[in-house]
Amino acid sequence: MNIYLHSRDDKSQALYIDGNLQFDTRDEAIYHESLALPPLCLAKDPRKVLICGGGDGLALREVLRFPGIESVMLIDCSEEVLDLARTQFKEISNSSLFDPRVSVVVADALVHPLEADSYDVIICDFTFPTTPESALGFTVEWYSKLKRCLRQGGILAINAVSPQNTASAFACLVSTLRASGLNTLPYRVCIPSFRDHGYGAWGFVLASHSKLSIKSLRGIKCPVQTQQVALEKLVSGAHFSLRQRAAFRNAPVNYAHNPILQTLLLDPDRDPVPALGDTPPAYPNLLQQVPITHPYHSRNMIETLAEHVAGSLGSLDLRKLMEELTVRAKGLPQRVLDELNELRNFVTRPTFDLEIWGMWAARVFATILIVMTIANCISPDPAFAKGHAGLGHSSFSRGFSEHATFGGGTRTATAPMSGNGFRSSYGSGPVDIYGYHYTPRIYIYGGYGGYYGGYPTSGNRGGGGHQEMAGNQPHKPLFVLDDDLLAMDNGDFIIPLSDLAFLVVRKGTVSLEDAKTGKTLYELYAEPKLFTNIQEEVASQSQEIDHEIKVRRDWLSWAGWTQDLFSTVRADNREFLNLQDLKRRLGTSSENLGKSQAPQALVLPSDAIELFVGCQILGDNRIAIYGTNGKADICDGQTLVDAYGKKKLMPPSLKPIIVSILKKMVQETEQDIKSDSTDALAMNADITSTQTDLNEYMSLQSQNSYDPDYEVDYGTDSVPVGKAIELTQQDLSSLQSEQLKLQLSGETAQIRLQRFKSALQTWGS
Amino acid sequence: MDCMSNDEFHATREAIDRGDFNQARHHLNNLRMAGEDPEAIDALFERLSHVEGSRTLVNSKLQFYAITCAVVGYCILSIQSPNGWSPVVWGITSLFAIPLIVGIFAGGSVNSPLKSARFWRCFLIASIPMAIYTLVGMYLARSKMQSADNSMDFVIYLFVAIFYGATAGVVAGAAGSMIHTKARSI
Repeated sequence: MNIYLHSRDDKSQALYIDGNLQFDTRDEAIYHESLALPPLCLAKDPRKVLICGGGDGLALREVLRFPGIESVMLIDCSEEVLDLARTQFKEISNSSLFDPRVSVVVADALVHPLEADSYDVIICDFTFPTTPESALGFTVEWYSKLKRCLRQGGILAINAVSPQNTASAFACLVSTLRASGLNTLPYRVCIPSFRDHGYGAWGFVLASHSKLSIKSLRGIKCPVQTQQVALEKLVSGAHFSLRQRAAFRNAPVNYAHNPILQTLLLDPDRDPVPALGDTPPAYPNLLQQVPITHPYHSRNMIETLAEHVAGSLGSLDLRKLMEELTVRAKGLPQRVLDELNELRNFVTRPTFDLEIWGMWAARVFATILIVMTIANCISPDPAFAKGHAGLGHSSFSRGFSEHATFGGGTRTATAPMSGNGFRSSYGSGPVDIYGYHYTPRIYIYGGYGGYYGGYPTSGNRGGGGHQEMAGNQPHKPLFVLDDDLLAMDNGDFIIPLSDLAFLVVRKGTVSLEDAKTGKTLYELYAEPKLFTNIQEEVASQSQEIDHEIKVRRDWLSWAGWTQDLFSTVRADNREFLNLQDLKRRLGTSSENLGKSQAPQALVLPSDAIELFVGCQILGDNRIAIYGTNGKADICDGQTLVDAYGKKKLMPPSLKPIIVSILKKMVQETEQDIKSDSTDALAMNADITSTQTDLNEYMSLQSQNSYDPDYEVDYGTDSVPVGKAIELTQQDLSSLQSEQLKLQLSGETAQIRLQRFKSALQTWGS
Repeated sequence: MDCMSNDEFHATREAIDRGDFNQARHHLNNLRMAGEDPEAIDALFERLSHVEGSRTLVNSKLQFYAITCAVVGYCILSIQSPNGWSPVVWGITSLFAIPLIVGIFAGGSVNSPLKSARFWRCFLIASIPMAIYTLVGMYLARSKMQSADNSMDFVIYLFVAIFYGATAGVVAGAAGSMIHTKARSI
């Protein structure tokens, strides 16, 4: 028996037995006066009283208050409760257990021998029946025993159950009392503390040998003053509906050998009238029977907790549980073991559990997402396999057709577009693929389709003098494809040669233009390689632009709608539109470029070097300028002779143009040589250092010749010394090869520099 | 009203505020037995029910489904950018379809009669994954391009993520607040 006494700050107390409230001192008088006083009032000259249960002494208190009581026997099985009554409840029970008229028996009232026909009033104050054992105090057998003990004119009063929450069980109790041969008078009382605990109105039943009716209660007169109950009003609680009264007559009887009360308590909605038959009872309100083990617990709380039982059970590892169970159950009968094995097999049968699959799928997805996010943060492009060839700053070398490196070489990883050229200054000046803006420069020359003026070259136009080109117009460069290649706003391509001249490449032609006058000096031989290189460069950069457009489109698909709020996004959007415009224009330029009609590449004489496309410096420092037909005009700075030896009028601006180009070439070649020289120094240092490492490894190898696996540091790794020597020798070989290449490049540059200087000397004089 | 009842009222309010509902219920019982003003007691009971209701019980399985739907849905969407899905498809999927499904699951997982409780549960379950997805997506998209002006990036990330997260959350919340499946009981 679990007893809990809750003492409050206001000195009130409440007693719980097995989680069920027995009484609350604030309203206990309602309960005990309603239980004890009516039988005393209705009994004929009550003198001797038997109280079964009620060890708290409170019902006894009421009995002892009643005049004429000579002796009271209290039988209670709980020593603990009796101790409480003698100590904690001594005050509220008016020390009833110490009254000399009282004899207390600690025993089970059901089995304690009772004297027949000896009690005027019998009060059964048992606890609420939560177990089959405790329900024995509510059986026909027990009531029959009490009936034998009850004198004629005496009254039996029992603490029943709630007629409100468990109507069928209450009816069963009334029916059971009747079955024992007693007349009954049921009634109910509202007790606030019981109601607040969800017990509902509480029921009592009076029983007697003689007939009891509501009229008996109506005229009840109590000789003692009550504290909380107006006994004359008890009659209102004795009124029951016709159906309820029918239930009292027809409800099943609770026998010790065939208990039904527990079933009805578990299923209060069961109609008590029909016979139970063999149909197994349903227990929808099983939760009602979950004991409340704490004074603060309410019925709702128990139900709420029970809702989680399914969740708690769901977390059990049933397979493991069953394994353990079957191991521990080996001592049980074979039949039980078989059942357990069958259950284990059922539980451990593999099933497709969608939840587990879903959980693992979510984990895999989350892992992939996290890994890809981290990988992309570390290395954005390779993580998503979206790498792209970068754009190197390979120079056109002033339109060199043979030495150009653009268009086909392996590119290094590009630097992303970081300039703001496409955000703010696009259209006002040239911008490169990195978004860097260049100083605007205006190029004036004739538009395509006009008169191909200038100085006739051998073979294409006979004679003719210096003519003004019709339709000279200023044009702005739009996009810098390379250091020396500009895409113009009109779709032409410009190759700047110096401040005085530039090449215009369009429609399969190449022309040398005078930057000052805007006149076309020469229609040059359209070297096929030049066109191929430009097309490749345009295609390559268009690819870059496509990539930049795509990443911006992706970005703007997230944040584009905020451009009215954020200037950054607005600029991003403008950049995106400008890139799209550039892409379109490059496409047009590529179409406009056309293909060279020249049948083959020019053959460079052994003693000549190329100055620019269609122009060579011959061994004697004369200049050969190839016309559209592939025939060269030879110029020594003073005279111009065509391929047929015929002298021609030399354009006055040609000489300064050639000189300016030569000067620039000298200057740039010197810079290249200087740069090569710096590289060569660094290379030498590397070779020396590598050679030192090699010597050191070899020394270590000889010192540790007994241990071929002796490890040494190689970079950040530790490798066997033999391996380190092998790798270092490879490094050294590679460095020496590069040094050789650099040396050759330097020598070539020196030769070219000498040639340029020599030509400059000739032409500059 | 005596001093002790005043203390009881005060203790009830304190117990509700700190979430000790059992204690609060006990104080209310004391007040009722002491015969205090029924209206005041009912008001406190109502407050207790409201606060207790906002501490909802959750069906963990349905909530798991809701979270899984959100995570899987946005993971699938993250395969390519919104532009790759086309703005219309992306908008319908990320801001309507996924939050709707999440809202249905999450709404059913909340065993509370309060619509607001279901709304906020659904809101959180849908909006947080959406906001994270947006943040990660935007960060990845931005990291692939080097803009000349990154000064406002963080603010833009935050603004867009909050906006999309809130939109998805509202859709899920609206769906979830209309769905109410009682949590399973024995």
